[in-house]
This record gives sequence, structure tokens and C-alpha cells, in this order.
Amino acid sequence: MLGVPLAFAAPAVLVALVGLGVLYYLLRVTPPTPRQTLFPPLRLLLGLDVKETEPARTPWPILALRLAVAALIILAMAEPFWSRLAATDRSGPLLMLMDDGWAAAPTFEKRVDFARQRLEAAARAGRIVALEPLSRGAQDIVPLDAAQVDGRLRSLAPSPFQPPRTTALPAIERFLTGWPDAEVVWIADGVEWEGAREFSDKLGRLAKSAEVVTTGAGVRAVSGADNEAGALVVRLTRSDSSALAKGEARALDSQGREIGRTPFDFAGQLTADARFEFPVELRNEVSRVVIDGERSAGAIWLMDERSRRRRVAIASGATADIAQPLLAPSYYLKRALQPFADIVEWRDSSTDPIVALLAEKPSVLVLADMSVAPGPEREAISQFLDSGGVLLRFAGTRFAAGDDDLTPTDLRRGARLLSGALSWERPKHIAPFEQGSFFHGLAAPEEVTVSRQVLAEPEPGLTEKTWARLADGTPLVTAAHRSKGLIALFHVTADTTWSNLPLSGLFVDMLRRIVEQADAVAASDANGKSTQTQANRAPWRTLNGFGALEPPPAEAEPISDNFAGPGDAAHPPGFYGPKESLMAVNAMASGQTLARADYGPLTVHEGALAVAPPIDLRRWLLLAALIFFLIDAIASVWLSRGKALQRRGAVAAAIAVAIALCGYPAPRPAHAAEAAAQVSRRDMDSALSARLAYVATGDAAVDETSKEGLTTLTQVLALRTSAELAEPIALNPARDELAFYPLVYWPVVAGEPQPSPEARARLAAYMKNGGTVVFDTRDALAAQPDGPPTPEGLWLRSLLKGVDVPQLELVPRDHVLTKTFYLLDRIVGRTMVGQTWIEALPPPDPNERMQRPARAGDSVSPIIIVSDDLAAGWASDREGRALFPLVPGGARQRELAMRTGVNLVMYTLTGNYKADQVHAKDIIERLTR
Amino acid sequence: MRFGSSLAPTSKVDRAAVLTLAFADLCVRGGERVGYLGLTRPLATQGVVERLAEAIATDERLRGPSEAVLPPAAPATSRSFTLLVGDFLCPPEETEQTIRAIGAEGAIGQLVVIADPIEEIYPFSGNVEFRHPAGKAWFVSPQAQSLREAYLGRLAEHRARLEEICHRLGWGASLHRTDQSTAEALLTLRMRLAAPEPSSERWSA
Repeated sequence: MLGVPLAFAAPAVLVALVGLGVLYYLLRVTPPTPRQTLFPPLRLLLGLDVKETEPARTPWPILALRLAVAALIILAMAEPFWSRLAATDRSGPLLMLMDDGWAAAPTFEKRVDFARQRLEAAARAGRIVALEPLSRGAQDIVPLDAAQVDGRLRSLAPSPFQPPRTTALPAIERFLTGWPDAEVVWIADGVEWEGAREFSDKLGRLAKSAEVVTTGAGVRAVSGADNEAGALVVRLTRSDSSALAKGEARALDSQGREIGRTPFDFAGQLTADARFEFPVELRNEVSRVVIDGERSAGAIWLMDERSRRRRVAIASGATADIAQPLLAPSYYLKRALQPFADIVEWRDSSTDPIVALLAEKPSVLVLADMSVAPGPEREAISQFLDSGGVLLRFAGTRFAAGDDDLTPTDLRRGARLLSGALSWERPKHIAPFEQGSFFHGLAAPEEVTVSRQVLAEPEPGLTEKTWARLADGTPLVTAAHRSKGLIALFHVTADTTWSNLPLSGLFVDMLRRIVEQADAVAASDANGKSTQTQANRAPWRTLNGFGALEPPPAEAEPISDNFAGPGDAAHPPGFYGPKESLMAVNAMASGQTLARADYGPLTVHEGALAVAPPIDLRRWLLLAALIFFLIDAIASVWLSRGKALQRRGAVAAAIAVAIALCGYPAPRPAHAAEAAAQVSRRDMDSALSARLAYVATGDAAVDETSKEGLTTLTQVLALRTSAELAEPIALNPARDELAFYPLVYWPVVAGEPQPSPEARARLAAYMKNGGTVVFDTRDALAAQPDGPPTPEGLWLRSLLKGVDVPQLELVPRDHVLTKTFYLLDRIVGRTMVGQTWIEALPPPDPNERMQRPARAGDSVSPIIIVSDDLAAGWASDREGRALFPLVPGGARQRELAMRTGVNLVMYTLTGNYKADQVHAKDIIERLTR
Repeated sequence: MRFGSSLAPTSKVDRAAVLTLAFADLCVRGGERVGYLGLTRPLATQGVVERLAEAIATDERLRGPSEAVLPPAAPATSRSFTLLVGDFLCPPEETEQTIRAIGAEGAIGQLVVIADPIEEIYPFSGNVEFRHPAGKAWFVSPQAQSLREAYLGRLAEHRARLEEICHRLGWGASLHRTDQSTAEALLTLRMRLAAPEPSSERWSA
């Protein structure tokens, strides 16, 4: 628009800008909210005549701001966007040609996008636009409405064949005579096919200005798949060495399931092979081969019966041929069949050779100069024929002497000698294969001669059964359907004794045709042999341009059996024919190569399809409008400085912000996970300085007591010992990490709910990893030894149910706990009658010479259960006055309670170390001795 | 009266209280007896300021803050000097009635009109909504500056009426703006005491 790369998707909305004038008038006459002021002499004002010479005016900056807000919103509603294409200064009609063959399919969306941008930009600029997919052929090109462009582009799909471009030339010519100044843009696929050069030459002559736009990437395609010995070899080709060199080919079965994949590498060439090395059964399952990730009909190769690799079993009547292989019929057969079939040979070791061979499930059974005796062999061959097998027989002396009915026609027993010492006749040549013959299309070479053959009994229908004949009209190859199978007979031997046919290339081609016929014979109509040239194969599934099999389109026509070459508009690539014996038509001809197109005189823009998408300006305009609106709200508040108004203004601003947040949800920063991973400040502090901890039970009085008690104990520890601990801390075992605290004091409150399983698991882990939990049931006065458990006791029991608690015992007098700092007789708290349980120590060593004054285990007890309400015994206020009366009481008991606390902390901090220290006296004595 | 604009250091009622109590103290030191009209009998004690303040506070606590524009219209004793302090923004006729009632038995006095500077200057312009501090009355002027002349005219007329009434009844009248010195107003009163005859001096603003 006007040289600026700015365009509007809904320019009609811009009409609303006219309304800004009205808005200006309305805003101008609507005064701002008055300033409020208290004024005692109001009475004097009341009667005054308000002589308004002109109405109060909205201040012009506010006015401008509000008009800007309205203008921005209108502009935003017109959906403006910033696009480089909008800035093209071309005028006149725009004709867009599109290659829509399969070569364009891999980048088809990009092409359509490009076409859409160009066409829409041109349509917006008021230019006549027209779109011509080149597969449409000679139909007239009709200019499109701007509204039609999108629908038209959406309806485009690549065709599965490469359309001949030249058919579109007349239509282009007609269009260009109508609009001679039209700009022609050809979105080409970059592949040399269907005369790209010729087309571009003509286009260059027709159009005043024509340019070619390509991706410049090239396409890759499959141009054949051969079932060779040992591997399925897929021939790949690419149009341009800039196309991806490496990739994978996938082999799929008829259901689309992947059988295997194999890598390939063009390695700088334009062609490459991919080898699938599968067993032959798997290879025969392959129904199509595709290039992985290449979405086009050309990157897929459909395979039908003909490309299957057959298994051919060879049985020979000559048993002693091994010594002289060149005289053995199986040698020639093997050499002829090897390129296209897997051969199973009769090995002498098996007693029943034909049955053994048929057990390998061959498609073709070759009997060279061999007659079949009634019995299991005969049975097996009948079954083989019933299941659609092909029996291929060669004549010979043994065959001629034998007598069985597994022949296509009745034979005269005994062979006909055409040349030799006793014959006047010359060796016969093979007659050319006539139209309708099975071997039609093969050349009958002059040098092939037949000197001896077996003769068929003349009978009606013999002509139909004859596939090949000699120059004198006698059958050389006859064939007949038997049950579902086929019997074919070469009236000569498979070796060179009767003819030199086995030495010729014709022999190979004949065998190939017969072997290809295998499996297909089962399905083919026994009466349909003479209709082979007619188009009798209706399309069953065809490829679309992207290489997906679909029901055939309406315009797809049937093909004949000998249809060859790539698919075209009437015969799109796909599977044709009865479902039982499908025939494949591919987008590429077998062995075809691709090349980079030469566009001759036309300007080529390679890689120009990637046009930057237009930037939608709507959001920025709305954002600007919002900011202006907020500024306006703030300014309004500021202008009318009344208190009430400020509140109202604040509400307005809040609503504005709320609207803003609704419209533009800010991306939620993913800090939550990070925060969780970060160590909390509290944990950091706890890790850096040792401190006592208590479990917050939820009972405020108990928690306060715990806190005061531990605080006092911490002070006492600092005064009397070297343990200078930090402030005690309250813990919630369900939430907090316990690992930082050497000792956790847990007063038991029976009424509180049990902690969660997570808390229990945490507690168990803490105890297992060396922490000490002091449970204080505080029920020394209520509990009786061996009496019923108190509520606190029961609560503790259920808490510890899931926790691994060691065996406990009452604190023995010589336990190290009573020796760690002070020498104590018992545990003392607010009371001094309760029992204290601790992890059981190993029993004293009876062999010890002297009784040790202190015993300790290997580690600190993870659990100490006291009942004397320790925290209450310690708790004192800031001046050191006790907060709780002790039972029975007295300063001595308080001192003992403190000592208990000191010992407890020392025990948890030093472990069994003190158990050794109490021997210091003895040790020193021993040293000084 | 309970109004003080941003231009004034204090509200009108505070200034009035200070002025009243200071004048009472002045009178007692001069050997006079001073009472609060309707609240106390005439006193000559040393702590008259405290007594009067206490009486005002008690009255306020018992009856709540008074919104009355004028003092109770009860006659003062004969030959006593009455000091009325207020803004007297009510119609001058009501003020006249009150003065007449107070002076019914021969008392004379002085009217001190307290005014906030904002009332005198009228510094408004633009779109202004005027509200009465006590009532719900309001007045919106989209162009307040256009009313200035008219308002000042009316104010002058109102003052002239008050002066005329006082003059007629033998009372004195003076104007005190809350942004002016209290001492000045007190001095004016002191002078008035020294010359109890109705003065012929004009308004001083």
C-alpha cells in the first residue's frame, strides 16, 4: 500500500475512522469530572447566575490520547500486517502458473503459501489475478476474485503424475492476448520433465515479464525396484545434487506395515541404490518401497506380482550329470533362472525328490526330461497344480519314453528328428511370436535352431495351447491350465542336445515370462487368455500426489496387461486389476533418472518460496491502545484530584489492567519447578549451623513449651559445654527436611491427628540415616509400669507402626547416655518417675576382666522414648525463672533436668566416644606405670 | 466552622477557641469576671482558661460536636460585654436576631468574624464542584473563575450587612483571617475593651 509494506486484511473497517470526527466532537463537549472542594460560604454562591460563555473543554492532550486509543482500536480491527510482499510496485494482471505434478508435492504447502501471499497481495492492490495449475491443461484461464483466491488455493492438490505443461500453453496464450501486460510467475518444481526448457522458451516468448520461482532443493524419487538374488535393490534418483543425499528407504507390505528400512546415500551422484537384504519370503511381501520423509508419488515404488521373486524348484531326470555339468539340463536352467528367481535344486540325498522339492513351496516346478510315475510324486504334483503352481516341463529321451498325463496336450511318443545322419530335413528355426501369443514381444532370433523335438498330437484347441512354434508350425512350447495351475511344456530339452535354445537369450526371456506368470495364473481367468491386450484392468487403488494410496479418481481409466511406462492423467500410478492379481503402475518409469530443469530465458529465483510470513500488527496496536488508555486513566485521576475520584480512577485503572491481563495472558514463567528445586533459606541456615529441633505438634501450648525448653537448653549448653548451637527450630515432618538436625524433640500429644505417610517415611529415613528422635510422651505421672498404655503411648505406637524401630530397652544404669557429660542416675524432666526407652545395647561382655563403667552401641540410638516431659523441665523465661513447677520439685531437680538435657545432646553429638573417655583415668594410670 | 483550607494553618473553630480563651484570660487578669454564654456563670478565678476549656469539652462530650451556626439566643446580663466569635455565614437576619436577643437586657459586645483565606481569595478556576462541609448541598461550576467577581461582590455585601447590623445595635465588628496573626486580633479586642463605645472603624481585612 503506497510503497509501504503495510496491508489490511479487513480494510473495510477503516471506514470507522470517519467516526473519529464524531468522537472528537463528543469528547470535546463532555467535560472532565469536576474537581471537588469544600467551601463553607456555599450559600453565597448558590444563587449566582452561571454565565457559561463556553462549555468546559476536555484538555487537548487527553482528547488526543482518547482519539488515539479509538484510532488504534479501529486500525487493529482492520487486521493490519506488515509484509514485504505488500510493497511490490507492480501493476497489471498477475498470472500465477503452478507446477502441480508429484515433484511439487514435497513442498506443496510452501508453494501454495507463496502463491497465496503473492495473489492476495496483488488482489489487495487491485490487480487482476489468475491462477493456473499446469495439470489443468487447455482449459481457459479465468481471473479470480480476491475472495476466490483462498478457496481456489485450498482446492489445489498435486497430481500423482507429471502433467505435460505444453498443453497449458494455448490457454496461457489466450490469457496473455487478453492482458498483454500481465506479469507471469511460474512456481516451478525444478525437475526436467515434460519439456521444461521448451515450455519456458515458449513462455518467454509469450509473456512480457515472466519469472520462475523454485525451491531450489530438488526432489528424490524411486525409479525401480529389482528383486535380485539375495536382496531387493531399489533404484533411487534425485533431480539435483542439492537434494538431501542421505536418507532411508522403507519397504512396506500391502497393508502399509513396515517390513524394513535401509539407509541410502547419493554421495554426490544423481542416482543411488538401496538394498533390502531380506529372506525371499519377506521380499515377496513387499508391496511398495518409499523414501522415508519424501512425500510424493514419485518417492514411492509400487510392486506387483511381476516383481516378486519366485522360487523355482528344478528336478532333472538325469542323475549322473554332475560329473559333466555342461551336459546337464539343470545347469542351463539354473543359469537362466538365477537372475530373477531363487532356485531349489534336487539333492540326491532325499528319497522322494519331487515331494521334497514341493515341500519348499516353490512357485514353479521345473521337470527336465523326467516322467512322473503314479504314486506320491504324482499326488504331490496334482496338489501343487491345484494350489496354483506352474509346472514347467522339458522334453528329452526319458520324457519321450515315459507316459504320463501331466502335459498340456497329448503327445506323440517318440521324438521327431529334424536333422541328423538319417534325416533329410534341416534344423528348424523358431517362428516369430504372433500377436496374442504369451511370448509376444520377444524377438525370435535367427540363430536358434531346433534339431529334435517331441510332437503334439493334433487336436482341436492346440493352437490356443501353443505359446511358441517352429517355422513349420509345429508347437515348440505348449501350455494348458490344469485345475488352478498351469502346465507348460518345452518340446525340446533343457540342455543343448536337441536345440541350441538353452544357449540363447530368448531362453532366459521365455523362462522369465513363465516364472512371472506364476502365482498370477492362479487368479487369472482361465478363459481370458486371448483378451490380454484389451484394457481390462480397472484401477483399484491409485496414488495421490503426496504418495498415499486412495480409491481411484473418476477419470482413471483401466489399463491393459501390457501397459508399460509411468502413469499419466488417464492412468494415474497405482494398483490396477482384480484385487487378487494387481498390477502396479508407477509415477516414474523403471530406470528413469531425474535432472535439474533448465529454464532458459526466464529469470529464476531459487529458494524464493520462503517468504517471511506477514507480521500481524494487531496485537501491538491493541497493546498501544491499552497503554494509552492507562495513561488516560491516570491523567484523568491526576486532573481531578478529588479523593473519591482517585478511588474511582484506581478502580478504572484496575479494570483496565484486568482487561489487559485477560486479553494478553502473560506467559507464565516456569519458576515453580525451579523454586521447588532451590534450597529454602531455612534449610540453608539449618545446614550451616547445628541446632536443636522440635516437632510442631499443632498444640500451641505444647509447642511453646518445646520452644522455650529447647531455647533454655541451648543456652545452658553454650554456657557449660562447647556445643554452641543456634536457635531451636520448629519442624513439620511432612514438609521440612529433617537431615540437618542432630536431635529432634517430639512431644507426643494424643489428641492430634497422626502425621501423613510422607511424614512417616521422612521420619523413618531420618532415623535410618543417623538422626535421633526423642519422643516425649509426658505421661510419667499417669502411666504405670506394666499398666494399660496411656493415650500418648497408643498414639506413639501407631505413629511408629510404619517405621523401622530397633529393639528397645529401659536405659540401663551404665548406658553411655548417663555418662556423656554429667554422671546421671536417671533421666529427669518435669517429673522424675517415668521410664526411658532406648535402643538395646549388646549385653555386657562376660569375659571382661573389669566391669566397664559405661557401655555403648556402635551408633547413637535413633530413638529415645522418654515420659518425663523434658521440655517443661528445662523451660524458663528470659531471666532464668522456671516456667513450670516440677514434681516433686526443687532447684536440684531443675539442675538434674538440665544435666539430662546436656547429656542427651552430648550423646547425640558424640555418640559412643564418651564411652571410651570414661576409661581415661585407667588409661592414664596405665601410661604412667 | 470546622473547616480549614490548605491555605490556612488551622481551622476556623480552633482559631476561634484560641481567640476566645485568650481574651477570657486577658479579661480575668484585668480584674473582670468572664463566663461562657450558656455554659458557665461569670468567673474571676486564675484558671479561667482551664475552667472554660473544661466546660466546652464537657459540653461537647455530652451533646456531641455542635453544628450550630449561632450561639443560643439567651440575653446576657445587663452592662456586660459580649464577644461573639464565628464565621457568621448564615443570613445576616438570623445573626441580627441573635444579637438582639443577647443584648435584650442591655449588654453590648463585639462580633469577630473568622474567615478562611480561601473564602476571601476564591482561588478557583475550571470545573469545580463546591460542597458545603456540613450539608449535602453542592454547586457545580464548569468555569469557576467566571464566578469570582460575583462571589466577591456577594461576600462584600454580606459583610456590609453584618457591619451595618452591629453598628445599628451598638456592637463592634471585626474580621479575622485564619492565616493572620492571632495576636493582632487579640490586640484589636483589647483596644475595643479600652474603648467600649461602638467604634466607627471600618472592616479591616
